[in-house]
Amino acid sequence: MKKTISFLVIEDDQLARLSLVQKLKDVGIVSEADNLARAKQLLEEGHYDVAWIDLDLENELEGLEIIPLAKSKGIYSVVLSGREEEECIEKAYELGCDDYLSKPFESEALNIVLRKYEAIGSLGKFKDFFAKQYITQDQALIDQLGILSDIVVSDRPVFIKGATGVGKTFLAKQIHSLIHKNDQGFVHFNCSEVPENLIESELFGYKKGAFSGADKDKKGLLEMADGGTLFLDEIATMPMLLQQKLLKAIDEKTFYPLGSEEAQKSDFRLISATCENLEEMVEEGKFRQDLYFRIEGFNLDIPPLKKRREDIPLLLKHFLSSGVRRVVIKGDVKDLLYHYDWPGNIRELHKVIDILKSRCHGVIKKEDLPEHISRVHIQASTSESNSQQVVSSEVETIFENGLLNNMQIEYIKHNGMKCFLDKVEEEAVTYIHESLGHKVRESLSILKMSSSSFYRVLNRLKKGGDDGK
Amino acid sequence: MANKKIHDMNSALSAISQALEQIEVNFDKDPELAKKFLFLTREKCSEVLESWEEIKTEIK
Repeated sequence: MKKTISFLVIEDDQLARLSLVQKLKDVGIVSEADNLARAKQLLEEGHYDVAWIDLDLENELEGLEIIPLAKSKGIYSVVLSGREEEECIEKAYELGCDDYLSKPFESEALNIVLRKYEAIGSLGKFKDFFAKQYITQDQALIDQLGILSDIVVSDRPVFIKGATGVGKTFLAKQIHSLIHKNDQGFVHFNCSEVPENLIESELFGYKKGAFSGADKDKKGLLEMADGGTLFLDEIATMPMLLQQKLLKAIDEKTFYPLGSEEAQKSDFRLISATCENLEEMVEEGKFRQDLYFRIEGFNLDIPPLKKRREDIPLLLKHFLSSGVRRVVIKGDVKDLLYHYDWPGNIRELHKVIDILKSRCHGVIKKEDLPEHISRVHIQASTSESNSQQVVSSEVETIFENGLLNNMQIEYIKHNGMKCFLDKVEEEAVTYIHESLGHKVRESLSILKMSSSSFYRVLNRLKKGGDDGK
Repeated sequence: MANKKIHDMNSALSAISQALEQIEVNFDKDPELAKKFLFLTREKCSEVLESWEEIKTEIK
């Protein structure tokens, strides 16, 4: 193994120090100090990745002095002490130690620390990724990343909450690659995209002859996720009957494929995500409470774009700079984009910019924007309530000045009102549905229409498309 | 004071258990190192016995 980690062991007891040094020698380069002065000197002069600090050196709790010094040099600091008093542990964490290990010290603890340290290294890259691709300046979101180092060394499930388009799948993939170092074994299943009657066979698989049409065995996603990650996207849409079956599979790590009496084992890390309020759904009896408790573990809540508007200019810059053709945005357009609420979040912003880039002549002007964005009033404050008020007052202004332009009136004269309204419906449904990543429930909520009307419009569009072929 | 002695005892027992592991690992591989561990472990065991006697007296 290539020795890339540099350790500093600070321990006054010769036997304890020698044991730890021997263990660490296998994975890194080790320096040692048996008193406070020597430790301070080494910290001043050298570069270390991980410091192992005993609290009681020549004097009681002297080791506490070393923690802030090590932290100020960016060293991962691990306290290794026989002290179990809560105030002592609290103090060490307050001073910045990353881990507090109790003696007797077991080899497994060393492995955990090393895995956490590795994760922190990846975390650095991950933060870099957030700075360059999934761009954010939102401190709360960046702070949440800190939990990733704990996720890596634990088997507990991960639960990601966030509106559509905020990057839940991206985050799930990142967590998987932090643990497994590659994308293999990452099984993504979007519960809302598969018809209810097919979810069970998709997840659990089936045996030949389990039902009509099952002419051969099929592996389920649970089996495919063995040793890896099962990412259940939009878990809130999981049918109640299947929730019970899934609960058993999560609990016991075993399941029965359809038509099989033989239990199958699968050891997977569960990551689930939703844009719904699961607590509310549990209270309303729409989601099983026991399943909710199982899927919760490490919880991440990704805020929508409208709650972190400061990220919009950064994202614009990023999306505009991709590709070889350079395109710029006029200042007033930037303001409009800044004040728009982006219900489809980053996915919608990305899509709009892509469309604008392909449409415009190098400079994106207000006329290039989709109407629903260009209508946004710039006087809006950034608060959500104000932006709601502005949108309503803007709509009133539109009505005052007349909603239809001359071409639209001509269209109505030639084709009739019904035909015009159908077109409006089709355009609205297409835009919202696509910008929300074809998620039906969210589209319905934004469009405020019934599912039957929604599917009627989609069918009409499909027929129109087929006719055109 | 008894608290401090208990912490020291805890640390010493931890050191002994780690050292025994190292003696086992290095017994054939690096006998010199195993010997060094053995010597230090004996000393530590004597310290632990002494501390244990002191703690017993204090507890009484």
